[in-house]
Amino acid sequence: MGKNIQRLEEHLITEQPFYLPQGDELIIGESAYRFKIPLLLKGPTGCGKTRFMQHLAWKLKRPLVTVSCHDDLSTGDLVGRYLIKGGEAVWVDGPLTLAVRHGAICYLDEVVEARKDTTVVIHPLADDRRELPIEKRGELLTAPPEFMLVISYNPGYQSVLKDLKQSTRQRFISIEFDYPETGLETDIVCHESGIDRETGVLLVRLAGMTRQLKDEGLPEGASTRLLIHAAKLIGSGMEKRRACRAAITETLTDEPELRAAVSEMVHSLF
Amino acid sequence: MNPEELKDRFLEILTPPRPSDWEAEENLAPVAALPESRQDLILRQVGAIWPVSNSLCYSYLACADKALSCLNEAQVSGWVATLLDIYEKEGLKAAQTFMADVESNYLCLLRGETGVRLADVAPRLLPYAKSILKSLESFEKAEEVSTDTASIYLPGKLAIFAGEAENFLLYKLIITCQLSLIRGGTCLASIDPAALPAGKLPTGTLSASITARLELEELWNLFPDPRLAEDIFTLAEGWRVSLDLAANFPGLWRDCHALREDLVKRRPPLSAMPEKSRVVEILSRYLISGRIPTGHDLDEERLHHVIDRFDQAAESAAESAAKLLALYELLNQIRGTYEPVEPVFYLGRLKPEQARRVRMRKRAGSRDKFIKALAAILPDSAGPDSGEKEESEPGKDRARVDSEEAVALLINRTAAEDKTSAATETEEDRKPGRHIILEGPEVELTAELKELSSEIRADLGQVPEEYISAAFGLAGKGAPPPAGADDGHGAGLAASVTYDEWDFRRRGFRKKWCVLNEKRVLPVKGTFVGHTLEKYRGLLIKLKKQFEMLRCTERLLKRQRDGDDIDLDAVIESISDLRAGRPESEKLFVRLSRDERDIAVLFLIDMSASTEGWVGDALKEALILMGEALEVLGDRFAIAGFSGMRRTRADFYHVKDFSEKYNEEIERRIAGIAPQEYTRMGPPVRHATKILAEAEARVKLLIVLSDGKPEDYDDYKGDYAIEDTRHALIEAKAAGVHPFCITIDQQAHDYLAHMYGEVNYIFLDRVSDLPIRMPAIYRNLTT
Repeated sequence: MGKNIQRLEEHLITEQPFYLPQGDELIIGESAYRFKIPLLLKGPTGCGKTRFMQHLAWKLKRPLVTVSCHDDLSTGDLVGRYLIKGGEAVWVDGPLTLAVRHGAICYLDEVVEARKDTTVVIHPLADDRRELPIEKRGELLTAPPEFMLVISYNPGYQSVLKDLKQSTRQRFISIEFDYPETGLETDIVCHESGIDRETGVLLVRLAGMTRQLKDEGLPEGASTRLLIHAAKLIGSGMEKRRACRAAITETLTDEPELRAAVSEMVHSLF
Repeated sequence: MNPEELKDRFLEILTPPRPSDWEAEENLAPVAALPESRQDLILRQVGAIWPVSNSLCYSYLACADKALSCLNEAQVSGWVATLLDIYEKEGLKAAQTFMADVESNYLCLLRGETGVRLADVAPRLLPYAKSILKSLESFEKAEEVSTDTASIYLPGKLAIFAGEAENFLLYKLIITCQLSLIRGGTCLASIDPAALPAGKLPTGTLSASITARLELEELWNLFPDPRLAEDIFTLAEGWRVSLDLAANFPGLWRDCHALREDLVKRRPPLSAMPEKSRVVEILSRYLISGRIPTGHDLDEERLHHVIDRFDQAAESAAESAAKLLALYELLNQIRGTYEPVEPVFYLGRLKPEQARRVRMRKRAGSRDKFIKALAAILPDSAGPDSGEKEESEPGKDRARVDSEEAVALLINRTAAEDKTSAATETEEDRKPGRHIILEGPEVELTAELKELSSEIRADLGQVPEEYISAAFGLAGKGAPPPAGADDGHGAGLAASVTYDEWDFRRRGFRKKWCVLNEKRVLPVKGTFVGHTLEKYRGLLIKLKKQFEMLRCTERLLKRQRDGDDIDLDAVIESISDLRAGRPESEKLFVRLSRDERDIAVLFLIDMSASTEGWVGDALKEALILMGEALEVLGDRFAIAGFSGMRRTRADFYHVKDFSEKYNEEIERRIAGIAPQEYTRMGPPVRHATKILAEAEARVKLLIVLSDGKPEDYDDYKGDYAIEDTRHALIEAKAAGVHPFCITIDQQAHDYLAHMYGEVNYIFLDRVSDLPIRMPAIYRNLTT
């Protein structure tokens, strides 16, 4: 058990993560924590959902246990399992159990990627029971008030298979994220990468242009995260067009014509 | 060949409808005198051109000789393919132009010599342009550069510079520049005469006499020399654009630096121009390169005045108009006439008239859309019979007028709210105006409607009341009848889709050649299903058992390195190994494995007239057996039939969609499958591929059941039909769909292996085998 607590300490965020609020999301997040209601974050990739969570966890002074969901994620991966150590069967808590036991924040990133039979384990945790049954141990954990459950997903994929069930989603308070507005996004890019404002403005304009192409075949425009990547490359002294090609053009699409179009945008701006 | 032979050969190649003898003779006249080898070469291409367009074929015959004189034999088919592409994209006239000059239109391009074509750069630059201005619709070919705000008009080919890269860059510069003009509102600008500097209007015009806002042409016409005014104004706006490009597209502006210098060098010499034109020319060059040319022989001081005034920043078209006034006055001091100078290439000439026409068109479009969208959400205020002549009750009319006013208020108020100018409004006014309450039912303004109304408001200031009353009128008349009415064979579904068709002679697609309609087979009540189930009762029980075995249940994998649970056997073994002093195993877990059958299969059934009788019955029996078996197995499946006549009507009948459950209704629909018309295989295969491509499954299977060769009423026969079908199946494979074809025929044919590909088909000569064989085939395919 002592070991577990030590593991949890690693999840405590001690330095303030940089975050500029887009709106009232911090207020909603803190209220959700206060009223013990789980939180659902939706928004396109790379728009700051995870960073928001880190910031919220830091503000609430709770450890943040993040699980990136994938379609092979089993209930055991979340709740915990027996392992053999030195000829003895030892129970090891999974990340979800760990968070519930010690009142941390459990953040299930991209929750729709997990199979539906896995996601149902959070149901009793996500309503007012706030319980986590651990079948294998015959244990029923009740979450302390400090525990918080947060899930995130990207509604942009629009796949029938990757949608959140009503029975799951109707347990949450939702915060919708989008790319920050121009001025704010420039601030973020400049702060994160340390590049000059002029380049930051151009990068954000480039992102705006790629986002206009959403109906022209580009599944999603350049995210704030991609801009920061490009900005970091530029900051390290790389030629701007080369940096944008590596971080944005080639990352966004494999489709030759769209790639050419994005490359034209880059060349117009830099 | 003598003319008679030639005509016969020609008519032999053609597919119906064939021309009359005299018509053929007349059109063959240009070919008749040629040597036989040349005639042969020309006629060989007719097969590919004739079905696409008869008139194109005649034009081809007329200029084939001249065209072929510069092509060698190997180049001809490529040239014809390009010709057909051009015809399909741009029409007969463009195709004729293309044929007229083989040398520059085709061969030069083959050799990669001259310039860049708009058609080649558009796929790359149109998304680029749309990323800057979403509302841009297209690029259009024109001699002169201009824009009407919806399209940008550009030369079809740029060969100004030697290098391809420079010509491409010039295209990009033109496009970005025109976009800047649109975004800056140049074309649609109207100038408020009150805002112009007083007393500066040209002599002869009293500023007090003009009160209305001036369109650009009206502004230019105020001056004694309107063309000079236009050119100065265009340059002033061009200066605004240059500053915009330099600030917002620094990369492009820098890239174009050398190109712009080059453009200056290509301008006509200054010395030959009259003095006024010389000044304008200097301004043009200054606009392009930012430098004042030397050797102009003009009064330095005056020129400085002009440039100084020109240099001043202008934020809007109105400020450019003020600049025009000042510059015109300065130029007016110069004697002599003005001869229009060549416009700056990438700026072109302004076309305010065209832009206004587009605005009218867009306005009319959004008006119609708005009325329709509003009418759709309005309650049927006057009852379903309001369209009829009926004595109107005054009270009803009154109520309607009231509602109209309420809606007008509401829609325009929603706008005010968006602008957050709520300070002066009363409490009542500030209630969220996002829904209408009319005669009971509550209607919410849809997102579309909100967007439309804000668009209209941006254009006109507010949504005119007649829009709203028109919507009320429309709502009263009731909804229009749903599209695609019943035609007897099946109920129509969605709007029709067009598909390309492969022409092997041309080694290319005939673009948007076939029109495919989606329909639903109407269920038939009867004894067919019962009889079938009874007939194959024994087989069915066996089948269900076999398919049940296929169904993959969850199974535990033992002795894994990690897993969901402990493998007790392994642990005991490991402990005993340890005790025994042997190295213990680390594989101590069991893991639950779910190898789900993630299969989607679509059965595509030939419903051509030739399946009439026992072939059709066997098909249906097989389908019912498969349906029963697949229900047990749990694989997702869909059933569709196809038939049709000519390229304009390929019918695709939905029997069962992936999302539907297999039940009695579906069985009745299977029973309802009935022979229709011809077998045009390409379009339905392409459509089925599209449906499968959208289905979520790891394995996607397309099983096509047909009898004999694909064939349609028109020229879809023989090699053409076989090659198109073959190509459609290859396309399916490329889309990740596994096609498999079951053909029922009296005897095997050579073409089958070619059409379906060696391993992807099975041939059945005994139709009675089908119900038994099909489940077996399916089992083999999916395990």
